[in-house]
Amino acid sequence: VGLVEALAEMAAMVEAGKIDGYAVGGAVAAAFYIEPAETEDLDVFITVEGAGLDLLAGPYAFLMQRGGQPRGAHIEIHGVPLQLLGSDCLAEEGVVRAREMQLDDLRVRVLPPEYLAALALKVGRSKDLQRLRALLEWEDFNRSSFEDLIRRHSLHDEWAKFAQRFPELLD
Amino acid sequence: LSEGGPHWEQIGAAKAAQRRQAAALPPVEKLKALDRLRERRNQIYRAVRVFDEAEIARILERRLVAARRRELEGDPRARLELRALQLLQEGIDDHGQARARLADLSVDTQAVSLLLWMWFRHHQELLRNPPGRSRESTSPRQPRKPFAAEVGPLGGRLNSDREFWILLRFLESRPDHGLFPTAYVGQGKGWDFEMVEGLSGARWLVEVTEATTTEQVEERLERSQRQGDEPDLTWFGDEPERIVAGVCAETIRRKARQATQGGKAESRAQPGTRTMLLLYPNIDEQRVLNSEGPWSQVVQRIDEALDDQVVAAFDQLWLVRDSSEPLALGADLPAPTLVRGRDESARRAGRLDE
Repeated sequence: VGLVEALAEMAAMVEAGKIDGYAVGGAVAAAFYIEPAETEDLDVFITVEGAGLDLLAGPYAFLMQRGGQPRGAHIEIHGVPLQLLGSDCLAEEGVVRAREMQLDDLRVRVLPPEYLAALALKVGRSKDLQRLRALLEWEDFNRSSFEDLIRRHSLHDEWAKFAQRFPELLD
Repeated sequence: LSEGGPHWEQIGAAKAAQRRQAAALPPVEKLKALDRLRERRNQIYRAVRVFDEAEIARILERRLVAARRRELEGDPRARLELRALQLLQEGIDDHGQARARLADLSVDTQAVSLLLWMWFRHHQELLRNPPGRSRESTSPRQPRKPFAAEVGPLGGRLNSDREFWILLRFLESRPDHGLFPTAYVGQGKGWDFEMVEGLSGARWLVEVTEATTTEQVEERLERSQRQGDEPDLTWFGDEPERIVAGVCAETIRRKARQATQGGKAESRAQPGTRTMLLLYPNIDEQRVLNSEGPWSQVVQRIDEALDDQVVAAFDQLWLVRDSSEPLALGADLPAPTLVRGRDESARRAGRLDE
């Protein structure tokens, strides 16, 4: 049991037609690019065409049939608390542009690092800003693409606050 | 350049290399590492549970036996722990009663025994009702060694244990203080402790706070290095002392602001109330500071960095150091270092009002 098995469920969910698209987010997604940082849960952004407010109902029912157990806002599957998240504009764009990563025999869709950074900036908790710092320091990080996201998704204020706290990361 | 001092460029480079190495691992390996970390966290949550009275009594009995053995071996603190444990075993819950039962002790040992009794009573409550058992709330909180006064290194301990430990260090090393702890106020409820001054009856409010950590100091050094705000600066010399003092001074300023606002300000408004800040640098001194007497420099720099308004927020301000290692009770115990407080400022100005 573990993250790999939990991620395999996402591919199964797409195959079963329960969701149209998904991309792993949060600390687990960041671990595909940078040094892994401890996390309690697995965050996955999903898109379901034509779904209303009950966007999560179908995917949750699917996971329950496959042994998932409700744990607060999460479903615990294969020992991992999984949180499915509906996508706002920024995340939806990230899901469309998700990178396909290989995990042994499994292909997993992961948010691109620039989208991860922009979402971390938007959420703005201490752990998110730490992740943002680490991503900005990553040598393969595409700064211009990230700045484009800040501009298009109106994150100027959040970025200004962050830049004030960590001026050394602006270079 | 001082020999044996830390080489910050090397430390920074080693950490960056470590990060790069971890980042370059295959994703499957990284996810397995996250699985292991999650399992470790689950174990911690599972370990936190409600203890029943019979279990608590058994732990208490074991601690009493251990303290008796240590007393026979000549451990000077064991007798004080023994008295505190006996109070607990007898079910004494009233401060006045507890103090009366310790009346045969000298003033300073009475103060230490009272503090230990309060500490162990806090442990007892944590065993009965540990906060943070659900994942939705805070981190799980239960003492790792219930009814034990050994705290060190500080990393990974409950905050309350650190607060008790630092006040204990202060009381042990200042036997002439004449202060008796009367209450542990607890986290998030204003000041940490209340004490009473034996002779004058003055009420003291005490705040115990972590001034800095090794990680904070290293991060600040790395940031300073990247910024290059002082291009001629070498990474030897007094740079670590300067950074430690800077972080300590920031903590004091923050605490001074808090001490004069909200609930803390209301508590101190009562006439005859005095305030004390005990600041402890939670750093690995061997790793962070140069070995040759750096603390006088740190204290001097903190002193220089504080303006009178900040200093006036507390009647006394102490830096309790060497807190990262457990320290033996006795003559070898180094006294906490007085930084400056209203009392000390007044003394310096030659107008002590008492």
